[in-house]
Amino acid sequence: MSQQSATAEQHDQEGTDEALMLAYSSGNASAFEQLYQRHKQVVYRFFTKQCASTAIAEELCHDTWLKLINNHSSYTVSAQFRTYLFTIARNILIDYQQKKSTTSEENTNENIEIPASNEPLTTENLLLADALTKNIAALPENQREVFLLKQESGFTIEQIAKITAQQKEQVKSSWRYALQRLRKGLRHYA
Amino acid sequence: MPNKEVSNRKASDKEASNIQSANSIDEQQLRDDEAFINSLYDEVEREQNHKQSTAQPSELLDRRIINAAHQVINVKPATNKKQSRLTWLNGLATAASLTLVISLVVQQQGQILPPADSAVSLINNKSSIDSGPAAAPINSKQSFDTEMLSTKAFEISGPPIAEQTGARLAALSNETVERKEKSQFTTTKILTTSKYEKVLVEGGLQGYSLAKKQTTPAYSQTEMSEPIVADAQQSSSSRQKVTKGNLTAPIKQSSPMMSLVSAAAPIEFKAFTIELFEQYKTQNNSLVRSKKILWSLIEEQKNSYDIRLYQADNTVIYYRLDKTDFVINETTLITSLPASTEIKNQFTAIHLNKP
Repeated sequence: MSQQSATAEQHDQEGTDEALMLAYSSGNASAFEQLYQRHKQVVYRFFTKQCASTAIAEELCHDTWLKLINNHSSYTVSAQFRTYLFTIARNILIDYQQKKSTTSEENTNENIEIPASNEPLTTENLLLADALTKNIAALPENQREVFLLKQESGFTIEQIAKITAQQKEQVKSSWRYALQRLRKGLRHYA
Repeated sequence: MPNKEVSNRKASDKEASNIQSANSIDEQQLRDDEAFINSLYDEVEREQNHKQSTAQPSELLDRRIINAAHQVINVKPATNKKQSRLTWLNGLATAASLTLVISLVVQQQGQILPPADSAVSLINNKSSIDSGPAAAPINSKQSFDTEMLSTKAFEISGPPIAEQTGARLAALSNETVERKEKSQFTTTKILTTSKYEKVLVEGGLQGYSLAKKQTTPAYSQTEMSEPIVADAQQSSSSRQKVTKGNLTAPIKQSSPMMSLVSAAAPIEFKAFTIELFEQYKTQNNSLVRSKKILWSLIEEQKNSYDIRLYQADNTVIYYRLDKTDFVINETTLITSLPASTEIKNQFTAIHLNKP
């Protein structure tokens, strides 16, 4: 326990995610604000790219952060904070998808919304962005997940294996196939 | 043969190199794919850079999440405080309740309360009289006075007061009787709640302190069915209500209850001789008040009194007093009491039956 607190102090000095989470667990609310500012965008993008509308993405974001808040007292530094956060996010997403499948909602590309931009893109780039989004959405679920975690969130294969509770080779394979599919689908934009 | 081995080795080497080359091709392809996707991302993000930075949750969501985070941190200690305060209050409330209960119990133990039996006996009397064929009419005022009398009688709780007032009450009682005889008021038969008043008059302290034990519904019904003449003019504010009528009430020889008790606990009674009486009398005179010899009547027989005598050392001896030799003050003659009851009387209440 004392070792953990010593580690927490050390992390606090460094200002790592883990230290901030520990500080929040011990009652420092501003530590959470810092954490949130650091990761809110990545989490949000993870959800928006997972075939969810912005409204649903926000809802899923809310659920993810709320779960983190509610479990703050049981948080221990066993892995990177980001891994922990995305494990929660992934579980929330899986729950959502299960609910969605039970309500027989169609998981089509029509639900995908390209986030509105203040600055209009050029036609070419607009088309490319649209194609990219659609192709990502068209990926099988496991490949899409791995792709987004690696490409958008910047996780390594090892970290993704941890988050998704899969073998490293399996993740690597998913990554490879996802890239091949995307390349095939976007070959016109080369 | 060696040629064959060499050729096999070459084949396996070739296979391995093929696998290696395939792996390297795969790796190369993977890198190409990664580069391709990265280039596309770069292309989009170059213009979308600003857009990507704005692709974030709404401020409303930010506020909701941060508020929730603050709430969880702030609420928790507050809840703990509340809980601890509640725990403290619970403890205090429990302690206060216990103190109250204990003090009430102690207070009630120390207090001499009018026996609930007296009320029961009163009710029983009323019902027996009302239902009985020889029931006498009961004056409501008299009934009330009787109740008051009973209540007043029970107020005497301390030995000094009782002893001091004993003689005076007896005197007052006699006066009352005399006045009654002179008065033009008609006397009526009323009920007294008990005969303990007699004891109060004569014995003072012992009268009440034992009265509590003495009343049982069975006894009351038997006892109270006896009509007692009382003064209709009695004042409810004094113990003058204890009347001669009470004292002159006919004594029942033996109640069913008494005989039952006697049968249950057979006692050997020694004959109380005049010599013994003289000895006790002498001894009693020499004793201090707290050590005086006391006695209680167990049963009045036709020709004798069965008594329980308490010596100075508190040992008990059972005696049978022959009525031809001894007379007992009428005020102490409470008959029809269960044998288990103990109304201790002064030894001086026993006299020689001399002309």
